[in-house]
Amino acid sequence: MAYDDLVRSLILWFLMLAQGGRPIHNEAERLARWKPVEMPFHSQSLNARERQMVEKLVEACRLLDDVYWRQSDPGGLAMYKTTRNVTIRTLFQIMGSRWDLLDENRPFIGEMPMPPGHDLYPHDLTRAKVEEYVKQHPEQKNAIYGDYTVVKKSGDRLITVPYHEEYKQWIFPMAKALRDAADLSDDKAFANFLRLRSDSLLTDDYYKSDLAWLDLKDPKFDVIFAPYESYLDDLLGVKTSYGASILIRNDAESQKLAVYQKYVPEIQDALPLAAPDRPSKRGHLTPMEVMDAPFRAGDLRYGYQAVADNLPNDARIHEAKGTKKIFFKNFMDARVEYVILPIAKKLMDPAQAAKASGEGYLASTLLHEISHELGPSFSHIGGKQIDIREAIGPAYSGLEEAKADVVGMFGLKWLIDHNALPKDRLEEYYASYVAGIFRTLRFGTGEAHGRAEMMEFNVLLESGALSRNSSGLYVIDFSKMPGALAKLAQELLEMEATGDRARVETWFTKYDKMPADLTATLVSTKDIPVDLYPIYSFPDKLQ
Amino acid sequence: MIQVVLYLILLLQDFHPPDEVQLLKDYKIPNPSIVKFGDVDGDGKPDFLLIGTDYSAYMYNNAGAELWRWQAPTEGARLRGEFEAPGSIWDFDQDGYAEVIHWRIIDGQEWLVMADGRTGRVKRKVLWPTTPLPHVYNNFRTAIAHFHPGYADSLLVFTDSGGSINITAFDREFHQIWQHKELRKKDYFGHYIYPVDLNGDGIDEVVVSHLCLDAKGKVIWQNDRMFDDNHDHMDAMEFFDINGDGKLELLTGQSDIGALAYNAMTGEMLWHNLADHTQQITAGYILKGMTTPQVVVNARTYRQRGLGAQLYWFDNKGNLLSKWPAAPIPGNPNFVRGDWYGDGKKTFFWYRYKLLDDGTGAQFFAEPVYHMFDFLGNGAEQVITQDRNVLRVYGFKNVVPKTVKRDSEYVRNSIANHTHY
Repeated sequence: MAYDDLVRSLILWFLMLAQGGRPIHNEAERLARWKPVEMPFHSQSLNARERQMVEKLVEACRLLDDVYWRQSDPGGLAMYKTTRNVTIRTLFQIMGSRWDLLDENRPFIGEMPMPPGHDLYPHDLTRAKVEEYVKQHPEQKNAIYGDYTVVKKSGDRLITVPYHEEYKQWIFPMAKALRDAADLSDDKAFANFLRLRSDSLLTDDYYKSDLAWLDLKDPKFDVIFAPYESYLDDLLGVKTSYGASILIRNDAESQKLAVYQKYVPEIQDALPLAAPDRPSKRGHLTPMEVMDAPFRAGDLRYGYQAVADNLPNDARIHEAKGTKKIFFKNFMDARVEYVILPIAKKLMDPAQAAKASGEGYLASTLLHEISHELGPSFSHIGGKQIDIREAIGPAYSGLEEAKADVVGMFGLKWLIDHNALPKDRLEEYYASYVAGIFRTLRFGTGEAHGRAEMMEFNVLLESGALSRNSSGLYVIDFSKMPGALAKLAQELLEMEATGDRARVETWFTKYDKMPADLTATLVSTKDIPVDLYPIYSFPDKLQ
Repeated sequence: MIQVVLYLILLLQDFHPPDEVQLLKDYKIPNPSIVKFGDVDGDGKPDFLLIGTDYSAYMYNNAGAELWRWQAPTEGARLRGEFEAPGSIWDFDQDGYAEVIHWRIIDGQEWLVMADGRTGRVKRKVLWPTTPLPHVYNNFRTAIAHFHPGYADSLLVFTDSGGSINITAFDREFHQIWQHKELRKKDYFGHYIYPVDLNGDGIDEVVVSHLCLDAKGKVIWQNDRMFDDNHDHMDAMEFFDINGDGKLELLTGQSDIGALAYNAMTGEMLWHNLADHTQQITAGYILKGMTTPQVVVNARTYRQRGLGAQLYWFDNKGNLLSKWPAAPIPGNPNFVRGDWYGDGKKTFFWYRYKLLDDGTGAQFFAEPVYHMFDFLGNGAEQVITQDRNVLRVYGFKNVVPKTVKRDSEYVRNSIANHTHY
């Protein structure tokens, strides 16, 4: 029984006793696990044109949010917009759908199970049916497996509709808002990017605008604004959902990142992977930004709150220019303060818990995002290059997040070994990493990050790098961590290089179950928020 | 525990109804699955049809004398008994003697039968529009529809065999007009079918949970992507103009979704609020001091032994006003509403209670309410209660009899198409 199941069962049992009722949804209890945190927009230092530009970007983000809901849960959107129940409305605001990711994606209202492909496919479509259909209609394979198409039924046939057509009601004004924002920008490169991204929204071709995005040099303003991630697609694992964030540069913190940027090619060369599968990163620009995010929309807005991101996901862009790493300083600060440090104090050996820190968490998060770019760019199957996401299928998201975690910790050790970071910080990094795992596991294992870190936790336990003492607290064996992480890094990197879907599924099936004693231990953290939900300065205006 | 003790104390007490409540009829009947009302013998008084849990039919006249019965076979009785039985009484040929619509099995096949209401003789029959036996009987319902100008004489048959759900329209000759078929899990379209004139053109639309059809069976709207799970069906439906725009809104109780209001002609959701496992719903001008109508739902709780019930009151925009009683009480009650006092105003009843204008209730009856219409033909409307072998009719003691024209649409909407949700 997972932690969430246990908590749910206890609550149900208590309420059954107390009322004799069947309050199966427990909305208040679900909401209590999230900490509302204000994410203010500090406009004082901005001039009038900049403030107007931000307003235009907010307008575009709101329209993107409208599209995201149509991808995620249009029925939930109808309830979100019309419900008079504040608790339910807030849960919608947190989840972006009617399904509670802390409860294995069970609904917090009604009984409709989460469709594996949300509203990107017919709800009753299965992977097996798609594969069978594509065998019979190979000419439709590319469209059905496309990143930017909605699959629908038309009689006995499957049809596809490009995103820019399916969502044109919102896409057209969204593209215009980006162009209007471009007209208000004094940063020519950023304005150029906004115009190119506007064009991309109207064509579903993001290549050119992604290149322009990576060319931005230390911008004061930036945005994430595209359908990038495939978190809504548990059916084929390919379809992207729209996400957006407005970003304002945090200069002081951005400058600290220079040291990591410098060593990215060397870390890639040092990975425990055959040379042909780790293409050189030398000469590649690795832009990194530490930004505050005063507004988010779409898949960046809902569920657990990302403290960092690594984009775009297009392997062609990775080959050509790499990726951009963005660290959301305001979100990271809130997570460390309200979640991570309180958890570490509850679950870890006190001396080791004291080593966990905001700095350590920042470092591990930073290397996690860098590591999304490291390792192979493609899978090699039968002498052919295959997109890793397509080769691995639905398990890809979990694998990729695990790879980023583990290779990131491998990279931190490499930086210390090469005197790029002080040696006395290593235990702090490991303690912060483990504390971060506990945070994620409280989400359950229904989502990519949770599944990934559950696997990492179990592998560390198996290797002896992590153990549970007689007091029920977890203890890190710092001497075993480097070896365990290097071995796991090799396994995950090889999975991506070979595109061996069966190997991935076997591995995760073996290691993604929550041990009973951890389930029991996590109960002690029930009073600590699982994550935060942001309260923005800009009100919602969903259509 | 305290609630159980209080309830037991309540049961042990001799109940004395308020002075204004007069027992008018007291029928001893076989424990039915449903009771339907209509004038089959042409005397101007409602007779009643009991359909048993095995689908056996028992027809009684207004005096309580049995006119005829049709005994269902024992084979398959358990499956049929799991859900409410289908049946209607309606004067299809307008000869003043209403026919009885019900299910029969003849020569091993299931038939939709139109029987002479006085004798039970089969006047017409057509194969029951569902999948061939063996099958289950999740929701088998009939309703009278108005699919063309003039007298309403179309029959809707709703058959949910779990996996295959059919909505079939017949004319008065039992010729099939159209059929809408869907492959859905049981209960996906709820438990009842509602032919209602939503757009005011005198012709019915058909609402069956998340599906709305026109009189030709064409889909007007369907909210299947909004609610794709069979458990999230509309249990109860009420059609009422809650926003004063002159059009009927669709009000629904949807179990664990709660109480909702929709634009009835588009399916667009207007508001939502939570109520515990929402089962029954009604609306009207009930509470004092409010100029807009209220919506009230029966929220079901699942107790360790049996079901519990509690009212949730909402304003016409879905804001919660109050709950009553403070804690759920045992039972699975219904609402009925009608002109109890004969003064042209609606009075609402729930369970054994008359609903008061402060959102609470006063006990009026010993048994749960079942139906309400002008049973006596005196211009007021009487409450019919039903509990196991008891069928009683109660009325306002001091009613002033008057002649009120009860046209066929009154009979159709207030008597024949009555549902128990």
